[in-house]
Amino acid sequence: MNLIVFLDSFSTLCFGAAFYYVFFITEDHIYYQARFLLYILMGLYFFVGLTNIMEHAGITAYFDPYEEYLEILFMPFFLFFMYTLIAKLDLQKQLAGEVALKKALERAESEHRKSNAILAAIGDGISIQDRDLTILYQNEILKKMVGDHVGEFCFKAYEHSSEPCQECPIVASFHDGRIHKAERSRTTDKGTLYVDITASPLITQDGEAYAGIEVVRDITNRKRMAEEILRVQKLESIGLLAGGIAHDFNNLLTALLGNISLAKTYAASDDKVIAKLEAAEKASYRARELTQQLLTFSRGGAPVKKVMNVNELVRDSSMFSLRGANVKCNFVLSDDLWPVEVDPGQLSQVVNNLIINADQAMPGGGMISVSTENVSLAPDNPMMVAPGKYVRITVTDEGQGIAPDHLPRIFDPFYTTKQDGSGLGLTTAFSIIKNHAGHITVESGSESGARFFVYLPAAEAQIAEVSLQDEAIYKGEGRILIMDDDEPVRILAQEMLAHLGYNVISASNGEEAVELYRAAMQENNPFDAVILDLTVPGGMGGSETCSKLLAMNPAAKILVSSGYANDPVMAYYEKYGFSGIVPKPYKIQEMSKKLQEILAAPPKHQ
Amino acid sequence: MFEESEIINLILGLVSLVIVFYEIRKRTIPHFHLFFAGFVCVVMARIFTVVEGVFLGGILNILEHLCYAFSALLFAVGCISLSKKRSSELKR
Repeated sequence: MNLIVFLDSFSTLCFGAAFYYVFFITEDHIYYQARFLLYILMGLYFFVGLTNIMEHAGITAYFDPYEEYLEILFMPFFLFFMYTLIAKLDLQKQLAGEVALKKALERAESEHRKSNAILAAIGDGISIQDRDLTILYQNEILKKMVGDHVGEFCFKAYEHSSEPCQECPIVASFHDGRIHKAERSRTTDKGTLYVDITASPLITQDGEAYAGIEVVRDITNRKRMAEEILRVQKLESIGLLAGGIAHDFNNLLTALLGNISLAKTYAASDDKVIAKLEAAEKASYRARELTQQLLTFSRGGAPVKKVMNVNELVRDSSMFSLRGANVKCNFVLSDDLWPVEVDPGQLSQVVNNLIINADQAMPGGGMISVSTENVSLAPDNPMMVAPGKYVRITVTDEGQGIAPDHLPRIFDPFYTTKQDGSGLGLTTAFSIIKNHAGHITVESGSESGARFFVYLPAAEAQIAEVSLQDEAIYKGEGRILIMDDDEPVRILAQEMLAHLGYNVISASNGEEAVELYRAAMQENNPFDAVILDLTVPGGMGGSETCSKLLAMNPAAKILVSSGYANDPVMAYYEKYGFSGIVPKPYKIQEMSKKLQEILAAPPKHQ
Repeated sequence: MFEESEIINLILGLVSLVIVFYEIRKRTIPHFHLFFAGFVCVVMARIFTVVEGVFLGGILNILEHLCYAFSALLFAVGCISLSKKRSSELKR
């Protein structure tokens, strides 16, 4: 074979192969335009090769004139092909750039979301200020705290000042590049907000502070609680002082009242003397009520309940709370109110708190309606209170009412909407009523003021009648041991009991009483009853002495006597082993009746 | 002597070659070197076609056909390799 023919055949074969393989070049490799051009290019030369072979074989020379034109076409087609490839590459680069940009944007967006999530999760307010102290950013928590002030000067927005604050932590951090802290109070729509601020600078690569970030922590509750604790501590101190004074005062009153009652028995025939003694006795009773108020104020101990009609207490407490106020009180008190078993001191405190609350709701004055009535609650009552008979006390004011979102929380401790409120008044009321197995609710309209309902279970027992019999003096006989640290009280009790016909031995403290009791037991001449003072400063008190006496003689009959009417021992005396109580100050009639009762009763401990 | 179509072919070939070289120098176009080499062979074949009419007709004619054969081979290998390349390699 001729070399030219061989080379042409080889060329045709190769162009044919190239033409064939273009089929397998996909869109991923080159543009379809480029592939189309490559088809044409390879097809052209394949065709030229074929015509050459045909020419060599002498088959035909038909295509010879066209071959030249086809070859001419190759060049522009190749240039098109090349520029199509270049365009493809440019596009690829552009796409790659766009993809990279999109990824960078997604990354930035993701970082932004992450930062926002972190800022929200911190739970503190975040504020970013530039060097001019313009607020650039506030997180949602800070916006809720102080409002949206982005774009404003921080000192204007937060401190309502026309110039930067003295010792501004963020300015300090701009100067030295360090973290600075400060405590501030900020006035908002919701009242005064106490915040703890930690400021740190945002630094450029050159070390320049271009902005500052403030972390603002709301410490209002913490501060309020600290203040409240201080207030409670003060109250406790005053309460302790009041309790102590009341105790000593009670001892004085015991001596006073006891001697008056004794004097009355001695001067039975002289009307003028009796009248004077009764006046003194009445004054002493009023003094006793005062000491009881002091003891109630000291708030100690468990409720000392008694069956009573609450009308008078409600009226007196309401009037007492409104003294000097520009608010009037309208009473609608049921005449046939069921009795309830309550601690008068504590219920008085509840009424006081409700009345004060109503008074504060009407700063411009108005009318408070107080009513009492009997109600029977069905098993499916909306308050979910045990069904039965209740006495309902209703206190209604004409104030602005309570906002619906505040209603569920008004009984929460330390929750208050008042600037100087402690948030304890209604909580105390709630706690006291719960301790009385009662219920307290509130309802409020937007304009009709608030209405508080106090439900107290009606007592099964009847109110103890203060009969003339109570004024009777019961004489008796037997050996009585009396222990009291206060000498006048001790002497009075001795004289009283001697007057009643008892043989009395006295002791000034628990240790002495125990010794005397033991000696009497050993001599086979035991005491018939013991009267113990509950509190003995610096010595063994009534409770411990009682335990020791009962250990010696479980059948011992022991009375406890104290001015601390709210003391748990006085409230639950049986639990501590006592047979009865004689609250100070006492009269000869009360003492004689109580002794008569326990001496007549069978021994409780055998 | 010289045929008009051959001269036009040569001129087009040389102009195209200049453009192609310019573009190659200006940009980096990967994976298509075989096509460019094939193109160069085609242009050389055009040169030999024209020159063979002046002197060394027989040898230059063989060289012309050899250039065509070589360009055909380069195009064939170029198309085969391109069709077998994965898209990930092309994007790199």
